[in-house]
Amino acid sequence: MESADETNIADPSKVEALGTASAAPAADDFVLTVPLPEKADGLVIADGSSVIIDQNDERQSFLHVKSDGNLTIGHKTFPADILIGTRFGASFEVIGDKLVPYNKITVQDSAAQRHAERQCDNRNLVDGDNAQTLSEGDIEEMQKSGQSGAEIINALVANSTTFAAKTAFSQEKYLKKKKRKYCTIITVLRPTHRTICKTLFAKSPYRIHHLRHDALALMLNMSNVGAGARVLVVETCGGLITGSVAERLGGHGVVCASYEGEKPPARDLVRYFNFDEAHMSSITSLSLQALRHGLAQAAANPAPAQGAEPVDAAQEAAGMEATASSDSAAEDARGGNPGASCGTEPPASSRQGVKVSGRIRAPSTDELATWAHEGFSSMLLVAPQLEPAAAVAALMPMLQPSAPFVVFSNYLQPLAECMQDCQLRKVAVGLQLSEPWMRIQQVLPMRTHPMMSMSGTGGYLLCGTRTAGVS
Amino acid sequence: MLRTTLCEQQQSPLTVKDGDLVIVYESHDRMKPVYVTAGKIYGSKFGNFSHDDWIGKSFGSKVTGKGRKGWVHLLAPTPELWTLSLTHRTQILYIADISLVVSYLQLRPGCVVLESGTGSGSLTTSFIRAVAPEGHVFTFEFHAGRAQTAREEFERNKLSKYVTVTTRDIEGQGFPEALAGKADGVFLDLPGPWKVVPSVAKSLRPDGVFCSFSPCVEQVQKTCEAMAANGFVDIETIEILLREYELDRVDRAPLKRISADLKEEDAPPNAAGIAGGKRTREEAGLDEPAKANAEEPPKASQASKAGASKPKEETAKMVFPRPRETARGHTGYLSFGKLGVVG
Repeated sequence: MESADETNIADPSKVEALGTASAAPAADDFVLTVPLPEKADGLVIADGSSVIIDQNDERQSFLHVKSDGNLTIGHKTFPADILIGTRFGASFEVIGDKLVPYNKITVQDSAAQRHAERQCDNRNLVDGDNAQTLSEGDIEEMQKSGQSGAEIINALVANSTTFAAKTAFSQEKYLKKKKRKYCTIITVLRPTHRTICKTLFAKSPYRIHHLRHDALALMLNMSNVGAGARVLVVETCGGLITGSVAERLGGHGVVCASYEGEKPPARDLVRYFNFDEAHMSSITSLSLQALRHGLAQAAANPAPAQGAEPVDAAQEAAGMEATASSDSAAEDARGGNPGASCGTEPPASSRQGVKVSGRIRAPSTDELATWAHEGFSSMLLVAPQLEPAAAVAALMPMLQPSAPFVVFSNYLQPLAECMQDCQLRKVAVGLQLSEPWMRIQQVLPMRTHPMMSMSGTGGYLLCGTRTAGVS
Repeated sequence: MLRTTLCEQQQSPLTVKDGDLVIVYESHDRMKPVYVTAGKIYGSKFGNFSHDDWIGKSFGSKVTGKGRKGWVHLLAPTPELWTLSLTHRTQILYIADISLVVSYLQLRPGCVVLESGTGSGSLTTSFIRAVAPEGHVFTFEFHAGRAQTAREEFERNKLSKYVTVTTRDIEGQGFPEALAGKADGVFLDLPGPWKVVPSVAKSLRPDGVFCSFSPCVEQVQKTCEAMAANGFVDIETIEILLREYELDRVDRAPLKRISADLKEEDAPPNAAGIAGGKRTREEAGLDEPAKANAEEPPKASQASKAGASKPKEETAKMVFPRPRETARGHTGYLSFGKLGVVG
C-alpha cells in the first residue's frame, strides 16, 4: 500500500482511494463551471471577407476575398477561392503556378548548438561573387520545373564552395536569406485593429498620420473603451479609429464618428474589420456641426425615458444629417421618469437610422438625447490637422464628468498647448503628455540583441479625465 | 467598476453613492482607491474629508476638505486609474505593457483569456473590460492569500461574473485540462514561463495568441526557444516604454530679448532712399517689440507701427514640452507568439 507521499498523481484512482485531506492535490481538480461562449465566427475566411496577406513575414497587403476573384503575389495571379474556408493564420507556399498549403511551424534553430560543436571563424573567408556554382539560368529551370523552395535551397548549399567553411551562425543567416528569396510563403492574417494599423504604418503611414500600432493600443486603453461605452471619435485616419473602437465595443454601446465640414471623410478601413450586423449597428456618423446642434436641441428637452419607442425611420429620413426636430424628440421623451435612464441601450433592432456613408448610419433621436443628457463616456481625437486646443475645448462639454479622453498628434507642440489650455481652464485632471517608445528584440540562442533598426516615432498622446461642473 | 458595461444596478451612474468605489485624485502622482462609507473620514495631506460630503456629488467633482485648506477630485474608477492607484502587492505591469498585451492577444467581447499569476489583479481588470460581457477571464495564482484577496476585490467591484480566480501552481501543474483548446489568449507573468509553454499550446485555440512577460533576457531566451519547439509562429519580443513630457511656461519677452552686444548698428543711410538723415530706430524696424513695450505705454501712437502693434501677445507665456528628467528604463520584455495553424 503506497503512502500518501508516494501517491502517483498520474493515476486518478489511487488519489480517490486515499481521500483528499493529506493526499497530494489531484493533477487536475479544476472544474469548469462557467458557460463559455460559442467560438466566435470570424476565425475562418468566408466569401467576401477582408484579409491581410503576409508575404515572407516582410510585406503585408489587404485583400477582399471573392470566390471568383484573384490573389496576386509578385507577378503571379492565383484564384482566391482557395482561401475560402481556410482558417486565419494558415500559410501557403508558391510552387510553380500553384498555392500549396504550408506548415509554418519552424524547425528549431540549432545554430548555437552546431557552433559549440564546431568552433570556427571567418578569418579565411573572402567575399566574392563566384562562390555559387549554379547559374541564374539553372535556378530558373528549377523554379519552372516546380521544385519547392526547400529543394532549390538545398541545391544552392550543395553547390556553394564557401558554405561549409562558414560559422554555424553565418550558415543560418545564409539559409534564411535564401529562404526569403526563393521560397514565397504567404500567410493569411486576421484583420484586427493591430494588424490593420501595422499594415498601413508600413505601407502608407501618411494615411494614418504615422500612428503606430502600440500608440493605437494605448489610446484604446486610455479611453476606457469597452462593451457598453458611448464613445465620441473624431478622426481622419480613414476609419481606423472608428473600427478599432467598434471592435472593442463588441456590438454593445455606440461610437459616434464625427467630422469637420459637411461631408464625411473616407472610412474604407472600417470594411477591413469584417464586422457583422451587430458591430456595424453600433457605429454612427454625424458632422460636428450637426452633432452640436442636435445635442443643444435634445438638451432643451426632458431626459429620455427608459424603453422609449423605437425611432420612426421616416422621421430619421427627414432629419438625416440635420438636427432631429424638437417635436419628435419631445414625443419620445414624454411620459417617462427623467432620471430613470441608466444607460441600458435599446436593442440593436430598434436602433434604426438612415444609412449615411456605405453601411454607417446616422444616430437616432434617442441616442442624441442620451448623449445630450448623459454625455459620452469617453473621446478619441485623432485628427492632427485640427488644432487640438480648440477642438478639445469644443468637444469637452459633450463628455460626461470624469470621462477619459485621448488626443493623438504626430507633432508634440500642439498637444503641449492643448495640455496647457486644459490646465488653465481647469477642465481636466490627470493630464499626461507622452510618447510611446517601442523596440523589437531578436531572440536567438547566442544571438540575442535588439534589432538593428527600429521605428523612430509612433506619434504623441495627450490623455486626461474631464472634471465636473465645467460648462 | 466597469460603469459603462451594462450598468443594470445603477440608476444614476454619474453620482457618488454610499458603497461606491471612487478614485481620489490628489495629484498626478497621488491617487487612492476609496470605498465610500457614510460616516467615515478620508485623511490626506490636503486635509480631512468627510465621506458624507461626497455622497450625491457628481463623479469628476472637486471637493474641499474641512477647514478649506485643500481639495481633491473624485474620479470614477477605470482599469487605468485602478492600476495607477492600487496598493502594490506584487510588481505590476503599467499601462504601456497592459495595452500592448490586450492588443496583441486580440481580445474583444466574447473572448476567453487565461492568466497566471494574478498578482494584484491590475492586468486582470483590463482583461475583464476587454472580454466582458460574454467572455471570461480565468486567472491563476499560486499564493492562496493573494488569490483570496483578488477574489474578494473582484466581488467588491462587481466583476465576479466575468472572472474566475483559482489557486493553482501553473508552473508545476500547467493549465487545467478542462480549458484545453478554449483560450483565445494566454498571458504569463511567472519566473519560469518556459516550463508552461507546452500547456499553453494545449490551452490555446489555433491562431490564438500567447504572451509572456519577463524582466530578464535569460528568461526570454528560454521561453522563445520553448515556443519555437511547441508549435508557435510569429514569435516576437518587444520592449515598450512611455516617455513622458512636462510643461514649462516661459515668458516670451525674456526669450526674445537680445543683448545690446548682439544688436545691429543703426542701418547705414541709403543714398537713393532717404533724404535728410537717419531714420528712427522704430521706422527701421530694428527695435525689439518687447523693448518698445517696456519703454512706452500700449496706447502710444506708435502702437500701430510694426513692432509694437500687439503688446499683450508679446508678453504672453510660451509653453514648452520638456521630457521628464527621470524616466522608467525597463519593466520587462513582452514575448508574443501565435499558435500555428496547420493544414
